[in-house]
Amino acid sequence: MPPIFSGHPTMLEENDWRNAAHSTGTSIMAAEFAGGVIIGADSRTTTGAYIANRVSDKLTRITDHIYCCRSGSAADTQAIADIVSYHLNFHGMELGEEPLVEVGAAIFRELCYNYRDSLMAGILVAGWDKKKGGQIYSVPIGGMCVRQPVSIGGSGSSYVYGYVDANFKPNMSKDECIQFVTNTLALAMSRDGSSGGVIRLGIITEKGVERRVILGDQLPKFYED
Amino acid sequence: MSTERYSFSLTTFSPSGKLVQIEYALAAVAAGAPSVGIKASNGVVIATENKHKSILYDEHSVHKVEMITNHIGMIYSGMGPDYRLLVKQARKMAQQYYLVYHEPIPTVQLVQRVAAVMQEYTQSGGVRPFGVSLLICGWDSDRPYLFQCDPSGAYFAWKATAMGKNYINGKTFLEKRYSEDLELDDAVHTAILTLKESFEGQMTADNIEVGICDASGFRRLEPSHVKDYLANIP
Repeated sequence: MPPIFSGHPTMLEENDWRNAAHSTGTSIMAAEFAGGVIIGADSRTTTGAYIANRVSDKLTRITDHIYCCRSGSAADTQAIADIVSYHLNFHGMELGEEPLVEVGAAIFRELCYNYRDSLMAGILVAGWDKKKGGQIYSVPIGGMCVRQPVSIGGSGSSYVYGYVDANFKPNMSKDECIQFVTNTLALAMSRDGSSGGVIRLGIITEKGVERRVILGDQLPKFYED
Repeated sequence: MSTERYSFSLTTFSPSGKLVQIEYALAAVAAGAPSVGIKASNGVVIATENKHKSILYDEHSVHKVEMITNHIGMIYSGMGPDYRLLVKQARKMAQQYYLVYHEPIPTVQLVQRVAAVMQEYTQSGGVRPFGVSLLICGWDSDRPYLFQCDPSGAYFAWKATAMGKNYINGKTFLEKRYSEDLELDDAVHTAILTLKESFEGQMTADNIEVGICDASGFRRLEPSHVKDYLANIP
């Protein structure tokens, strides 16, 4: 829609950061370990080149044992997460027990696939249930759904596929896995301009979720000349 | 073949100004299994008889005491199938509220919404009123709530009440036994005693259901827990 006042586009420039959509150009990941899953994300939300929030929380609670990592449009992923919460809470209430991670992922997929033309959302669904233990389901843009023992997403993920392939091992201990996730995200954040800030972690096991933050000065350092 | 609804309501006024269908619905409720609710100083208890007509019934598979949200529970007297529908709708409404307001639905809000549904069925084409009265208990804003919803859509806030068979005797019993500083434990005890007044036969942990709601939320009591309470009853 063109500006209402005269043809001088000084105030309503369309491609300006002031009017750009909030995106979570991001680095997110999830990895299975012995006893559960660990999810991690950076904390940068951008509108164009402006960092709108440098401490955002991209790890969103769906239930006590199911979380999602959000990448893509911040608005789209927040709205989807809220709707999935609605459906999963209702489902859990009818079942009388904790809903399964697979079910949560299926609901995410239903929304992301059926509204694929209107959404820009890449989501990692991760959690723990008593049927299959720790699980990760990747629901990228387009709305497919696939279970993976380790999964990365967001704009920063492109830079760390090699590192993940070389360093992931199944059945790591909790601390090994924390180090692996931290290193991966730190590498992605240092190469991707749309990722940065702090590393937020979530450790999901039978007992629930433990949240951690790794602040800027504590990030692992790699080769820098 | 889709159901072709009547456009006119089946619930119509009698010359004396009564809605006879609602009166009949209330009669269905009064003929139903007894249920009881008591508000204590630190929580609410709801309880109902859940007798099976034959030993072949699989006990504990289907429940009368139902959770609507973490902090709200419900029971009924009257027609089971009608109740199930309202439970489902109440659960949906609670989730819809959370989606919009990001706040667990206050008990009063849920009661108003459920009651609005029940009223709809007294003023819509081709449907009959619900043959249930509901007892809805909840905890929010640091205090307990107990409400009754009638087939007419009317709702009442109670300190203690009884519904279903013998409800008049039940209420009289409660009037004598109720006090403002009742604790939840004592309230459960009193609720079970009230049910006993109209109980035919031996009361066991398998033929009654009890739910409690306090600051830590709503839960249905396990049969083993109910047994402990029954042990203290003469």
